[in-house]
Amino acid sequence: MPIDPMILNAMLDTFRGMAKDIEGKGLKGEDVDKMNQALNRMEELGQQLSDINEFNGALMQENLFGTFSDHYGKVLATEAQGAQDEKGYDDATLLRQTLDALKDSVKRIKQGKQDAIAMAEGYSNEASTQQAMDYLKRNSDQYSDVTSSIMFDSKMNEALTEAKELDKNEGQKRSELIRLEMDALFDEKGLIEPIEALIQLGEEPGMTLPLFLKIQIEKGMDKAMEGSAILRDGMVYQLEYAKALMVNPYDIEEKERILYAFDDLASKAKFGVPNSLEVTLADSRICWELEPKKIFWNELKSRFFNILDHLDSLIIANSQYFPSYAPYTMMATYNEKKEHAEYIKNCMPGIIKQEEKQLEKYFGATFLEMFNHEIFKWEVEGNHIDYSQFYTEFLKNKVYPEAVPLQFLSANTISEFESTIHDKNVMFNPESYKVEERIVKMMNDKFGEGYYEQKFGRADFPQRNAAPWDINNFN
Amino acid sequence: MSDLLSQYKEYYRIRKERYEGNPNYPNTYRTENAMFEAMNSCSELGEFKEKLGDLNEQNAVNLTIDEYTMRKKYFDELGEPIRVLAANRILEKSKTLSTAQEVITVVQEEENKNSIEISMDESVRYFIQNEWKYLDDIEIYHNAEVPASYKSSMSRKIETAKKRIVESKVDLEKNNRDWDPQWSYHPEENMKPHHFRLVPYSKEHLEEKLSQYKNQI
Repeated sequence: MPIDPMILNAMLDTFRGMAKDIEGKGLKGEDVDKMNQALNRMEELGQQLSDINEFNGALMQENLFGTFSDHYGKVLATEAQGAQDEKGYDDATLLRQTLDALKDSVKRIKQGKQDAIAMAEGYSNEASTQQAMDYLKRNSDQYSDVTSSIMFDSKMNEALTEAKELDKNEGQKRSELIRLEMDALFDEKGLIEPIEALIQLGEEPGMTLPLFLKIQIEKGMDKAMEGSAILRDGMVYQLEYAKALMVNPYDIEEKERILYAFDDLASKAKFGVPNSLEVTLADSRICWELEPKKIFWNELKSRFFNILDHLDSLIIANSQYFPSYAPYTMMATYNEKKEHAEYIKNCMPGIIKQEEKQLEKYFGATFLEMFNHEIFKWEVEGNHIDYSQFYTEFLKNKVYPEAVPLQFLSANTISEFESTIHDKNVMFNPESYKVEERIVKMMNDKFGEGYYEQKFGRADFPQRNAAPWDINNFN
Repeated sequence: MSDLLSQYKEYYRIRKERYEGNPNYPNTYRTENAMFEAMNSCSELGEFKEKLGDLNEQNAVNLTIDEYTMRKKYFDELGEPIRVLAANRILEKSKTLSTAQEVITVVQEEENKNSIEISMDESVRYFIQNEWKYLDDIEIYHNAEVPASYKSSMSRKIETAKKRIVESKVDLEKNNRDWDPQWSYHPEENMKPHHFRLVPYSKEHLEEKLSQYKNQI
């Protein structure tokens, strides 16, 4: 069975359009033939293969995208060269052609933004749902578990109705948000201004092609036109985002160093604009250096918090309130819930001991030592821990010492959990919302006040009665 | 001397100055300088075409040589033996290239080939994120002290982890052979320095895990 047309068209339509463009210009020759051969081979594979990964793999192994683009470029280059040879050297014409190409690129940038907005505004939940339905039906052999269900048609019709409603109710709001995002992310001004400065230069009285080319190098206008100003804006945005997220210190360090490297290279560059390959390699080296540190950090963090979470699941399983906590809330019957709680009560202490052994073996740190580790401090300061300080201290000081294999938690500890933690609603971090708050501020600063709330909405933060974290007084 | 001729002389002068003294661009500077000399020696613009010859094409080749020399130096310094392959092959082939179009073709082909090589090579890192966890699970459930009535539950979890290890190899090989039909999964390649630098564990622990893996496969 061939690759589904929805996927094949998305992959090949650009190339089909380019081939049609060349055909429309009446261009012929060896490169045109080779370009079309590559496209025909892509079409042929699309009909022969059914697995998308296999199709992508074949395209890459046979280098079909590359071959097509290579010959397409040669066809255009030959066409341009032919036109120039025919005319002979004419400075005024060459300068005009250069300026026309720049004016055309300004038009294309503006049009590109409008097209992107139109495409996003034209997005229809209804059409998208319909497409997904058709895709599932066409590929029912792969998705028979879904399509053969007697509920399939009714569920799909339900989804279609919901999608229509969504389009009706949210269309206007979506359109406004798209424009806000595009204005902030698609820095039209930053792209167009350097090009317009070049056009203005080219149109100065008495301007010639060599003078025009010389001045743009001297002033770094050629590199500015390539988007170096926008590149730096992107780096600043990445840094702000990393600071708001606070995933780990290396993530922030990476973005800071990348920005610094860009500015450093710019300050040393002959005409004030850094060489793009030097920027790429400098950035890549920074990421390369920090990657092992990030991996180590994430692995150690994950193993430590996994044990903390298992202590949490142990005390919950022992409490009479266990059915109201995840994962029990997702279980269908009380027997199922009870059986799982019994398993946790009986087995989790033994599992925790083994996890602790692995933590110590791989990282040389005990579970208790990890509370003094920079990872723990970072997670607290970044408001990433969902437990309150009071509850975390309880897990560390009361539950952990009793998590002994083949033993149950004491009645006192269970009772303390129920009366002083569960009943008083002090289990969770009252300042967890601060993570979202940082992102809200960052996005609203970037896209305009109220953007985040309009785009994502903000659920009310639940009432949490615990005191905020104070890492300096953690026991 | 016409204005146009003197302006072109200035233009070629500024072009070569852009690379002058930059240790990363010695070859580009050489051809840029040769183009400047060619232009500078003209007494009228019409002479330039003949004097230029194929210098502009050589310049495109030289720019590629300089930039891929930078990439090669960068990847060699970092000890990245697979990522450097595109630069190595492009530099080797550049010795016989004479036009900008040939350069574009070679660079495109080699970068494409290298992107597959990198994907295949770095797939072995899957072991650290995936099978390592299953092997740890086997160890945990095997050694965990639990009541006798839960021993069978532990055994089932061990069997699930073992099954996943086998399935994981089959799935990865099936997927990667769509891109390289000869590809086989060799997690021991994680011992190589360019992979090992990203392993968050010691060499002894990696060796131990690889040995445990062999016993499961």
